Amino acid sequence: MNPLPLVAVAGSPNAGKSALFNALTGARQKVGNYPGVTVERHSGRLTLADGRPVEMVDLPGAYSLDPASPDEAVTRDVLLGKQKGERAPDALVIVLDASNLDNHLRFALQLIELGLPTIIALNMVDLARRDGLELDPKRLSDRLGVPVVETVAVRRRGIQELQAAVDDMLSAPFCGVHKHVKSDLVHLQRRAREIASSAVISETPVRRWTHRLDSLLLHPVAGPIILALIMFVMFQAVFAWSVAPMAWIGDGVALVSNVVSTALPAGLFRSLIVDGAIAGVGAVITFLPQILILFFFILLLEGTGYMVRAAFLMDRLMHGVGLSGRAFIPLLSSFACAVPGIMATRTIDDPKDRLTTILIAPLMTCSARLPVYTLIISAFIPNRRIVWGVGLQGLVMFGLYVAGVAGALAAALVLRRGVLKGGGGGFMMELPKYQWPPLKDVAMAF
Amino acid sequence: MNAPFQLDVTSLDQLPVGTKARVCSVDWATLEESEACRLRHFGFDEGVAVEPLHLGPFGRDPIAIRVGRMTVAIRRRHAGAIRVQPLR
Repeated sequence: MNPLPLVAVAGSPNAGKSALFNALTGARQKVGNYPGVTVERHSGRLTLADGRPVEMVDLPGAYSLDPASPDEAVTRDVLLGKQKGERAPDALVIVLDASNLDNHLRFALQLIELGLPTIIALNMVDLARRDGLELDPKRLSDRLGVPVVETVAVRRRGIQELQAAVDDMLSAPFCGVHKHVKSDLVHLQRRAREIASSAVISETPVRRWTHRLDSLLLHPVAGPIILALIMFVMFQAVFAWSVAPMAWIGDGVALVSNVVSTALPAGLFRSLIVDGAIAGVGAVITFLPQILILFFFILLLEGTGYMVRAAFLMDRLMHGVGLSGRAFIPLLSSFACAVPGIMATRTIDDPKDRLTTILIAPLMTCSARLPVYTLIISAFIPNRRIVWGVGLQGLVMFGLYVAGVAGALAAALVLRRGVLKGGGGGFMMELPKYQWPPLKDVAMAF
Repeated sequence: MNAPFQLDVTSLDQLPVGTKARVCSVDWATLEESEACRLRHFGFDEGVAVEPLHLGPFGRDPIAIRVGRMTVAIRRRHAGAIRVQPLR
């Protein structure tokens, strides 16, 4: 039996690749704005109009086939059929950010040179229009020699057209050859710019909203204050918003144990069920609302593009302990759980930076530690209000988190001076446009 | 064609925020291989339009720079390797 045709989805970081992949396959996947959220292999199935299934694989975002990070090396190896445990793709869908064509086309040109059947998804055309940029997909298609489909993945627009194009592409007979000539990046970049400008119909200069927002959020004084406020509100909310749902869960557990107590005869077995299983599981799930609220906030910050700005603001301080601002994102994710936090360190290029971040990530207070904190706080700290909206318990919680961060930074400093000495510790990141987070994708991540 | 008023060539880290400039040259030799590669990925190349947009709150580092249509953040040290010609 022939295996299903394999279609790889490739593109530069921040092109909306994950959102497009979600829209095509309906797979459950996390969507973020910081580079390289798709570091694992994500695959899904697309069913064509006539019912034929196609396997889709979402490749890590890359700027070119000449890797500058481990993520990009994976992308290159899969595309060239050199990745272990992955067969060479039969066709490609390249995702491009319509408002950043001159950059993203460089990677597209490299990919088209591979000679595989290829479709281009010209994504986020709505944001390009908002910035006053009108493009001609027909002219782009003529210049590149491959079909171009306009899409807005987060609004699920253009997806049917893209599916139809995939269908056409796979129906056409093809015998491909893989070749990768290590091409001159500078030359490619110039060609990309030339093609990009030829595809522009009109361009009205508008003061972009991302720039206006950044003037406030990256302001030398206001920026860090807003960041601290966001973090503070986040941790206050974890406490305040969870009171009611935690009480409901507590009541529910009490109800269940009452029912079971009356149904079972007194004895060892009843004690095992009521005092052991129900009380034990109950104590754990009581904290579920707090964990969910924290996850919700982190996903929201990722989805809007604010997370990268936080890295920008924190870079100099992280640099002080020998890390880069990039470490801020994995460390912040470690507040939710150290495991995804450590996974997120794969976007850090420098191996020593990466190892240091991995080693200190577990020192950040993860959400599983919340129950312990909560227990200790409610036992020893009176529920008093200091000023309106600020409770003593919330404040102590905030302090415990700060202590975790301080401990982690101190450990980083020691590690960077000692066993993990050396290394560049660079910081180079793209600041993507702000966008309204695709709530559907945030909801799917739960 | 009116040539833009020419100002002295300077390095990108010395360029004031909001000043548009064109890249004259990049001193690739002072950069590590992966750093140079990333800068090329961002599109830093001779003739490209750049504009510093924001500075980091601590020590005015890193710098957010518009390169073509993209906004990227790089450290002051790396920006120092990029020579630019301010435009007016």
